[in-house]
Amino acid sequence: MGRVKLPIGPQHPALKEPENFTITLDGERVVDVDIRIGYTHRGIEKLMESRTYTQNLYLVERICGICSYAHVENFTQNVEEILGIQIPKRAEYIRTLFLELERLHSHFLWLGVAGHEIGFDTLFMYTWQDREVVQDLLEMISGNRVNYAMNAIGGVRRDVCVEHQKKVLQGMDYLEKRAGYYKEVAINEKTILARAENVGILKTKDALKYTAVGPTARASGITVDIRKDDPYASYLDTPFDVITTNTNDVLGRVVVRVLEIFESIKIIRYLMAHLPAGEIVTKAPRKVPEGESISHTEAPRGEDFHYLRSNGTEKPERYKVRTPTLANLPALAEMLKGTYLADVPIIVAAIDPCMGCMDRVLVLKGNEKPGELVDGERLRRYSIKWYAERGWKA
Amino acid sequence: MFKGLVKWARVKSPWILHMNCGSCNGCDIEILAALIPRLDAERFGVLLKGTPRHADVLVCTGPVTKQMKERLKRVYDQMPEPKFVVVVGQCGSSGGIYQGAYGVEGGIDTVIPVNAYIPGCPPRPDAIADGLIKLLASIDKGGKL
Amino acid sequence: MTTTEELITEVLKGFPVQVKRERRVFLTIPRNDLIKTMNILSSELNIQHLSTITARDTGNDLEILYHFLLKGVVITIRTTCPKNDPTVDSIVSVFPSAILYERELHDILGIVPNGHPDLRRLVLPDEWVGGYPLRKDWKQPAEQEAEE
Repeated sequence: MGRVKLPIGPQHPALKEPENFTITLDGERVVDVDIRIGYTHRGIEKLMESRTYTQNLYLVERICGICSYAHVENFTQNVEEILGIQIPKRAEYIRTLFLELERLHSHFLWLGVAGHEIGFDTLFMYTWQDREVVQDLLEMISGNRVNYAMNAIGGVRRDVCVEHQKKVLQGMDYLEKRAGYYKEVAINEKTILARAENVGILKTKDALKYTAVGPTARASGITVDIRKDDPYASYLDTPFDVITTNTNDVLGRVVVRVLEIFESIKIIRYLMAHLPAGEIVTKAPRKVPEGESISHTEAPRGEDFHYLRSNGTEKPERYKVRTPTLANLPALAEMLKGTYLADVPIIVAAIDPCMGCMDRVLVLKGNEKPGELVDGERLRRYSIKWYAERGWKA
Repeated sequence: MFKGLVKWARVKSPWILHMNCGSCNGCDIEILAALIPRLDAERFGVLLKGTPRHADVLVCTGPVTKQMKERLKRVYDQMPEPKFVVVVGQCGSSGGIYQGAYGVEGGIDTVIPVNAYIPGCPPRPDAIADGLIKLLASIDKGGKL
Repeated sequence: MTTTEELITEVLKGFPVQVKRERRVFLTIPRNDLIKTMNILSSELNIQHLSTITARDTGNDLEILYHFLLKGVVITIRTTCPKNDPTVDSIVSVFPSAILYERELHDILGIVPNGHPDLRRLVLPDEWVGGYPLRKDWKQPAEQEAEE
């Protein structure tokens, strides 16, 4: 059977931003992958140049609705570095709390998405129900479930009171129990193992060569975690372990994220037990002197990198954002090569793309004339059916 | 006779197609959060479909990016009549915080006709369910909100 | 014990390395020295992690920043190219992960990385005819029309 080109994209029923892959197939095996993005390119970096630093606090948050706080943290860190201000310790702890709460909600969200991709919708319902505990905590302290508007330049805008601390700790107890259940499921459940073990292999040398980041890199044995390598906020104080596995596959990426949930719970418990007294914000001037600054954080998906160039006015001269998913795309293209088409949905989901997945699939036959239009829900169902024919059941 | 039955079926079980036209995902996540057991929009018969050809309601998020404009039009054209469009979020309503950005066209209604707007950044799952129910109620009454 | 910053300064002896603060190292080089410097980073410092490539319009020319990570230290290599000759060597042969970042620079600023295997659009729409948005003298197409 000859080679067939399959464009997949740019719209997915289950969620997220669109992107487009053109996959060259030989039979059922992927031979080559070409990635086209830009469907959510809004022009934020340029827009930031015409807004003040205060206005940009709210714009930067909305680069992504899942890891929004990581972006705001980077932004405020950049501005504060050029201004030369040190924020109060209590503010650092509250920021770290939000960074970790975000990681929790993102990892639970991802577990559900991964479950949905392989047809395990019960997992989706369970994990998103548990995730609501985190959303309630975020809303309790900040006022919103998404886009918390917690940071000011110089600290945070809202405080955490004793009642909040109690509720956060109660939430952690509940989530720890639930994470324990998911850990058992991830490691022992045959249905998941069949779809995740030895699927989407990314060798360590390739992960390094293509600079994979986040859980994708850590599942290939690379100990990279910005919280440990270039500590920010309160990460020098809080004890936690960097989780790696060396299975190089989708299962490794599942295990890393589940175990990271435990580490986040550990960090949050420490923060609540050691929250320093004091102010939550330091006054900051509106004009930022000329200078440049680099800030990067370990967002739930990996290294989120921001660069700021200031020019002495109230508006940035240049702001650059490199999100973790962009860093993982070359590694993704590599790990899709040689796999079955039926594995494509879960492998793409396993890098936790903060850009969408596939919906529209156009099958091009041999001489590249357009063929039958197949939507992405059918690709997902094709992959579930393909595995069912080989004895897999949800 | 059939018209009434079909309308009852559409109102009691709207099949929705969700399309992200350039959003940050905040609204998309909250739409899904409306389907989970806590709120369980499925008890209203809402079913998330994967293809425009089976959908009654198109739920859109995001400011329409220039890349997505044609695709949005195409998806809308593929939906069979009668069809309804619901916009979730500030960005879909007016371009939101991205107004003026070079990659953005504007709200969803700059590209296709819209029946209902659910404002928020993002709107809570309850607000989304509320908006959908209001739309269904209006369909029940005869199509106009 | 040598810190990573000291190690970098030692290996890049002869280059104007600037240690701005802990874990932030900067180095400005002429663009002709780009590949030579990349090779030193790769072979003598064993760097593999390229975080991203930033570029901006300084008004006079286009400044390009290559950001690397080594043991928690961010090393930024700065170079410039003139606007009337916005080319620079592609570093993909040394750092394959540069492939998308160089494409983005080409898309939004018009910088041409010589030797890059694939300079199709990355973030702008296929039908975009509006120029390079991140240039300082760029105007929205509507404004351009109004001026004419």
